[in-house]
Amino acid sequence: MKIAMIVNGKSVSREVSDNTLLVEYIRDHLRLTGTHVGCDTSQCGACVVHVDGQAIKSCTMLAASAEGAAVTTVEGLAKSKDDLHPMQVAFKENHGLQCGFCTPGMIMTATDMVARYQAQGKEITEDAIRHELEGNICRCTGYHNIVKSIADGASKMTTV
Amino acid sequence: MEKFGKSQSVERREDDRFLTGLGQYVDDTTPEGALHGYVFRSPYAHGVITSLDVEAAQEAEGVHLVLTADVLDQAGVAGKMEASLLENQDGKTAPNTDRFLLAKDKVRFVGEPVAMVFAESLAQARAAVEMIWLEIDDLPVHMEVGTGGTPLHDLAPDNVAFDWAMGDLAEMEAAKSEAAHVLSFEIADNRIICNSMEPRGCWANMEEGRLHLCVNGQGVWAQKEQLANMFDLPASEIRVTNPDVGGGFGMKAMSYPEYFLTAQATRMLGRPVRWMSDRSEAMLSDNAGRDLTSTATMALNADLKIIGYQVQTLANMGAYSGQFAQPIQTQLFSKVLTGLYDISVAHLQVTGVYTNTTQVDAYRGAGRPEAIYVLERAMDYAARALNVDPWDFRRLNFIPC
Ligand code: FES
Ligand code: FES
Repeated sequence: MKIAMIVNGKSVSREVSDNTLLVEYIRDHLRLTGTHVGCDTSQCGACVVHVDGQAIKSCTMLAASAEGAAVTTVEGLAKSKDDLHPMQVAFKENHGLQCGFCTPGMIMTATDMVARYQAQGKEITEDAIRHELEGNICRCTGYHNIVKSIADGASKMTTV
Repeated sequence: MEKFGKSQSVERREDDRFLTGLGQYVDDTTPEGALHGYVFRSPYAHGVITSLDVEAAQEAEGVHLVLTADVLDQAGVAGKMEASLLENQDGKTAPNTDRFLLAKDKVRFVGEPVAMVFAESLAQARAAVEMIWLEIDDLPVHMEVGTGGTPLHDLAPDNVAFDWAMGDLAEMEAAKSEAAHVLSFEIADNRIICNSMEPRGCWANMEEGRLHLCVNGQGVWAQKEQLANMFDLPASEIRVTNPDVGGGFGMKAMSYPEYFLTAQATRMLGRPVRWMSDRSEAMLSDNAGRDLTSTATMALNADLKIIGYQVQTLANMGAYSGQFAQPIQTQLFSKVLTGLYDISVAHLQVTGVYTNTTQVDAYRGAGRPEAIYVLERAMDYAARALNVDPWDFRRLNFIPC
């Protein structure tokens, strides 16, 4: 079937089989390989993207369900190579990554979480960050620097 | 903030790529048009293979190749994996038990590769794997980290992979008999699954007559040599590369059957082929870590100085001796056996055992963290048993400086 959506601001359309997952559509058909696959049980969060402004695990959604949606992947976050998103800068400055495999999912979860908290006028405490990260697994960092990165990124992000 | 002086942090060169989704992990670099490999794994822990029927899989839609032990044989690939073997206490080399790329005659753990299917799409490869029919005659399983039980390998009748020792046993016994206190503790170090966030994977391609294996490993030279040996090719006809790797932890340092099988498929089919483990497969097939039980014995004089330290370990190898498994809880363990303490007499004896479980090999520090763990647990236990402060007990026994 033909599936069309807007990915990182660009209209795309691909002929794919009806059981294609959104992550397969993104990785295999659009060849945007920043979105990763770390599990087959919806647990790791390496595949998180935004669909119509909401963070979702792209391994757990059919591409067909995203028909017509606006999808943002990690590739769509920075304005340019030299103008990274504040959350990306925060991860870099706080050593929030080692091997980098979980990082795209972490960043997409982080930007979504900050946007939600800011929209509700709520403070993003360390506890809140840790709780919000329950769907993202990192095997390298031990999380401390990820939590620091997100707190730092949040202080530099203005979404409202 | 202005920073002054030495030891300032250095910015990582790779971060900009990783942060913007431009990392190049193995499956991000798969050549266009590569076939997908999927492994049929044994659902049984132990048994003699009575039949393996792959006919339906071979004829399934999109399938180009099904590799089995027989197909490898016919292609002239012996298929035996390499392992470092220790010298036993009796001076003989540890038995050179077989570990084949694909199970031959017997299966020995749940998850052992039995066949590998290569198809146009991953879904087709998976569907074809569902059509494979394996029948076995059950054998009793040996799960306990101990010797005895139904032998996994003819060459290791008591499931003893090796019996290795270091140090002077007579001196150790003398220290014990002179000692004011002799204390023994059993210390278990449970098995772990490594779980790198990026599972294992590789792709292979023939490039101008040269075999190229791209694998998310931890080095290329050993891999290249092993491929050359396995396929009886000159090393100059092989190229091995490592792209960005999503966590290795020692687990990815070793070679695995899937890498050879993927390489063999590309040699037979003349087109690129890729294989990525999924998480469930990783749990079944990645080298595990640790999994040993040690008995630590301390001989102390009346002043609570340690005059002798002995460790006897049962180390689980899993079903096979992995590439570097045998030297880990033995030679590497011995490097830091006595840690920071002034201990002049020490003895280490390790029995490696085969069980019907996934193979165990290097993991984070490999042998040395295990040795320190045993020693420091023993220091705490001993201090408690002697009713002294554990820190005082340690200070008393540190190597003086
Ligand atoms: S790949 Fe989506 S949660 Fe792990
Ligand atoms: S940085 Fe390696 S898994 Fe998170």
